[in-house]
Amino acid sequence: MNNAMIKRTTKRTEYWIFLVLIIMCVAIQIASGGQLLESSTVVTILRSMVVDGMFAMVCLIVMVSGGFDLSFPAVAALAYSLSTTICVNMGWSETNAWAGFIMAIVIGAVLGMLNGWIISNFKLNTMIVTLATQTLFIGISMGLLELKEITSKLPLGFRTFGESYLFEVKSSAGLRSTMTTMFIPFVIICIITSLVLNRTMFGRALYAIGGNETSAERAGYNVKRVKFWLYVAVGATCGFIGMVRVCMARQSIPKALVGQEMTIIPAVILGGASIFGGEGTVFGTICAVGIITVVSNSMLLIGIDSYWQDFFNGIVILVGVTVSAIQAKRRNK
Amino acid sequence: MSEYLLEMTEICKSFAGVPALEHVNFKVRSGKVMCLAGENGCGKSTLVKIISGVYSKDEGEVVFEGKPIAKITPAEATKLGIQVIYQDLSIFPNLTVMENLAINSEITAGKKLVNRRQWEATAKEALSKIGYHIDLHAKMGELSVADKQLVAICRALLFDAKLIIMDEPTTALTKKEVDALFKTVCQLRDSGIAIMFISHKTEEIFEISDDVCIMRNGKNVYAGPTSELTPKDFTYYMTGRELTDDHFVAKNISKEPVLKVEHLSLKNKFEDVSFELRKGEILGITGLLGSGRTELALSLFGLERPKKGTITLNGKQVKITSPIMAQKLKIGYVPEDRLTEGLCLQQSIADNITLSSLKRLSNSFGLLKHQDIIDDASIWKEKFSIATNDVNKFASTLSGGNQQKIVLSKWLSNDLDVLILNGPTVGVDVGAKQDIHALVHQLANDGLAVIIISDDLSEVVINCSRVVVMKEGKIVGEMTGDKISEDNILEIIR
Amino acid sequence: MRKKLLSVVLSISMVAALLTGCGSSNSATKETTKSSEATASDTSTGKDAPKIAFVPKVMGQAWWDHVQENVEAWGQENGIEVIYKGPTEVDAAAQVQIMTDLVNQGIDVLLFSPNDPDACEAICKEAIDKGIIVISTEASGMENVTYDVEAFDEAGLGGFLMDQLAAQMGEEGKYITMVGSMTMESQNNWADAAVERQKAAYPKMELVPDARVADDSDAEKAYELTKELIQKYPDLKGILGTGSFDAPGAARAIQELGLTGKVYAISVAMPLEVKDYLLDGTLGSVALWDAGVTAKVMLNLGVKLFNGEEIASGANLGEIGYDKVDIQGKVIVGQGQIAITTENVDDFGF
Repeated sequence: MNNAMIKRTTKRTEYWIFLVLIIMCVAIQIASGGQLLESSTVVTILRSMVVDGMFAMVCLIVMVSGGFDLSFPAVAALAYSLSTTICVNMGWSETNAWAGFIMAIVIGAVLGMLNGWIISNFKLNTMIVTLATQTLFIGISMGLLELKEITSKLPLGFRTFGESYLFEVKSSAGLRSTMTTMFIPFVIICIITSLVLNRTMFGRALYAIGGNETSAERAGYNVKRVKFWLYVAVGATCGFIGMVRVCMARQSIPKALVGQEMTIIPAVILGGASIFGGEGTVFGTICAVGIITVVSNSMLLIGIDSYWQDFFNGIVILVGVTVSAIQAKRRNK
Repeated sequence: MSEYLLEMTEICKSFAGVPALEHVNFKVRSGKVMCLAGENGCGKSTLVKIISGVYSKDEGEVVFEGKPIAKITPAEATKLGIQVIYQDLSIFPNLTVMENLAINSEITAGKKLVNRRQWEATAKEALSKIGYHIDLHAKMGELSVADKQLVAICRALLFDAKLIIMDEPTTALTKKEVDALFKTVCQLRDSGIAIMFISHKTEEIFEISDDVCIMRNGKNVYAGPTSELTPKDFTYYMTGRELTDDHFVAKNISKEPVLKVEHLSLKNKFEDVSFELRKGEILGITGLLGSGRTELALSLFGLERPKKGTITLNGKQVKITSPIMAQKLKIGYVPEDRLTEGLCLQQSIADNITLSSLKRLSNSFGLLKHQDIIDDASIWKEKFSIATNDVNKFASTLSGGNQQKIVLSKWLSNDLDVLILNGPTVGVDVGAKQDIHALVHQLANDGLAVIIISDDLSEVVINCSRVVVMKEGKIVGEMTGDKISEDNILEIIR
Repeated sequence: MRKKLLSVVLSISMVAALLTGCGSSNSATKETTKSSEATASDTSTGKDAPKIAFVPKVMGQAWWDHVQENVEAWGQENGIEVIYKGPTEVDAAAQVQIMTDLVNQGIDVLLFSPNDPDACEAICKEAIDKGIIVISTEASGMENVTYDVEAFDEAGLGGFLMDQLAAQMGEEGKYITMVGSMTMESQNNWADAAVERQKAAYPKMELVPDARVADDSDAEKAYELTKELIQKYPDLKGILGTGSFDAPGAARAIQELGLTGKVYAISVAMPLEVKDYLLDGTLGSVALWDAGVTAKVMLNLGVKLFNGEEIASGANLGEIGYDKVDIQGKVIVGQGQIAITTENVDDFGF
């Protein structure tokens, strides 16, 4: 490892975010009297990272392309509510979960197509477009389709899938905790995101478009097509994530995810994604989601009032946006 | 095969019925540099876009390597060996040098996956074309403009370019960087590549080009070897008017110096600088980049804090700690990058002109007096003959030269004693340059003390009644009157 | 040209997005039972059938869906048109807007369950001044109402929950309270009442220092919180929730941790949602009142008042638990709370 490499590493946001995560864990571990790194707490924290972490990947990939997606919770919510409602109405209470998953992915992809079509064809600000479609999707779900909460009637297949686990751990007090199977899709989505961003021309196109859209066009990328398929893929992934959430919580609540974008987007920015596009890595994003989850899940352990959660989220947004702006300034110098 | 690589004959193009190009003719030779010159908005970029396939022509014939080309797409143009290096260089600031070098050819090759080793090999090959060395893993955005430009050139060479079109490449470069760029251009030329060089700077065109095509209002008014032109002809063709360089002669210089700088020093920037400035004279401060000339100017405007030395204004010793204070002391500063530092493009011309004198234009409650703003702005519009019919229009509607006039009037609308101009005509075309110079002369003769900081020697020679030459942070020479000439200055600088 | 056309389509769809999004209450309106059937007997005093509107806290939640079904059934039975319309989010401002629209439309009876009672006072006063009969529920402190109908009194439900939890815990051990959010007035009042009850009746039970946690009305969060609580307080024995997501989430954690029979949880909950936990013993019981029944009582009361009848303590409002109501000032209190156990879990159909 030569000097230039060390210098390059310390310049990267994810390096610092990783440090912050470690320091934070150590601090909480001490403050909570050693309870944070109990096997059962770790398993719980990893479990609560699953859905937020996957959404963060979706958010990251959009932000790399210089976009902003506010509609992803609404896409996921509409996709899973509609999919579970269909399953229930068809009387598929015993069906395996996969039917619901496939439907949700297809619905998500269709909704993503709408986003992608508007954004790529009209070159509108992605934040405005997804703000509009977000409201539109909530409207469709609540008003047009009148989708209801599904709790006790949730198909058995979903419950069974949600209850399944990879392994169990026992804490020092003899408490049993299970590691949900849903952790696997989380890991897979992270790997896929990383591969797409770093090892495919599509991924490099996203960075290129995020860096300089005109240049990307001149370099020979079909920017319109790249953007369209980006939002379709994002929509489909959101449908999938939504179903994971349904299985985990064993309930399908049409409004459960509303407002989720306001915790995910700050995390992604904190993780090194630039609000101006072209920057961001999977590793940094995972670390940032880790920070946010660890903090929110250990407030109780270290005895901090949960009102402080909002305060903390505010700090995260501020820090993330400031770092992002400083980097952009340095970059465009 | 003809001796010409590219022949453009009778090219016409109009947008929505408005002609942008009318019967343009010119030829480009392999292994030669052809300059496409003209003032802003004369149709240069339209012409480039027709060659690169972004626009299609309405009439005329394009012949490349002896073959007529009916209609081409940008991808086909690339295949033929035509590469355009745009003014913004079309780089990705967030990616590494390696990625910037390789990405275009990887896309063109229709690759779906990224092969790091392949990318690195491509990048190295690109750099080797002009024997240029740079850290492949450095972030593009952190490089200097000159380095960015070289990377962009290397990238273009990867496509076996036969014709490289460079769109105003020298705009953001220092003199030294321009020299380095020209060296690269000559290297490319000698390897048999045709270069089409777009510029409006007279000296550059004469320095680098073999052939020249001058355009004015969508027509080409001259096409042929550069050697058959004199600079005077060139200016005439560019602007359509006879321009004469009026050397400034100070008419009423005050006895007492308005500004006196003694033994001023700023760590690592300049040392022991002393000079005097009188009303009615134009003082030139020149020197190479890094000679401390800009920092000296910034010190006088409160943007740098010199540790040692004194500044005396109108007989009183002052300490200038902020631009606000400088303004109170009646010192004005016009920065080099007029577009980003001096103007709010999306604001009206009137608002821009009166921006720094709003205090004077507001009533006792601090509310702005709108009519006064308009009146004030109109006075300056008349005085500087700013080319607009309405001062309520956006500043962005004006040409570069007229924008410069606004920035000047912005400062002058506050009663000033000393005006510091840093590179007043950078990026301005010949005609507007002339106007600005005349304006500055008029201001000086009206009793203003002016400092011009510039590395454009001809500008210094024409405009200054006295010149101070700086080198490595020190004043190494001073000359007045007839002694001021480019040769004399160069002698001291070198 | 084609681009232009598309932009127009786009802007229309944008406008549509805003309409369906912000004003989705319009499309969510249920205009129930066109009164084509014969006029019901209890409206035969010569007046026309009253125009009744019911404004729930929110549309589309299981709880309120159940209310809606009951309101619709009532309307069908009595041949009276009832407008059922509420906000799509739990949002006080949107709800007040809907109430204002209804009052201005000219209705005779306004029934509602406020998200924020204080925010509703002004429009309720206006309604009463216009001669509209205003009946609220889950808002015992409201001033500008004709009557407020409560399925139970607050102390009653809190005590009811505490009595059951104490019985399961053997009247001793540490416990904590859980609510949907710290700003939900009624849920917090119930929890307060439960703590009061414990202090008065179960001296061996102890409230842990954190005292109250909020699960954002999300069973997944309730599950995570329960695990954290047990981590922090290894000797925690009871969780008393007042929101409908508390017990289902807590039970899942208790079951996973293998603490069935050691840690107990209780809350208000929907029977079928906790059926499995009741059957396997993770939960001993949950509490419930049938909001559908309360809604019917409000409808009956509204019609009675519209027809000029007087109501006094001990009156029969025609539903089980409301055959001898208690009236304190403007508040009509029934005995509507029910304990759900393995015995009666299937009796409700929701």
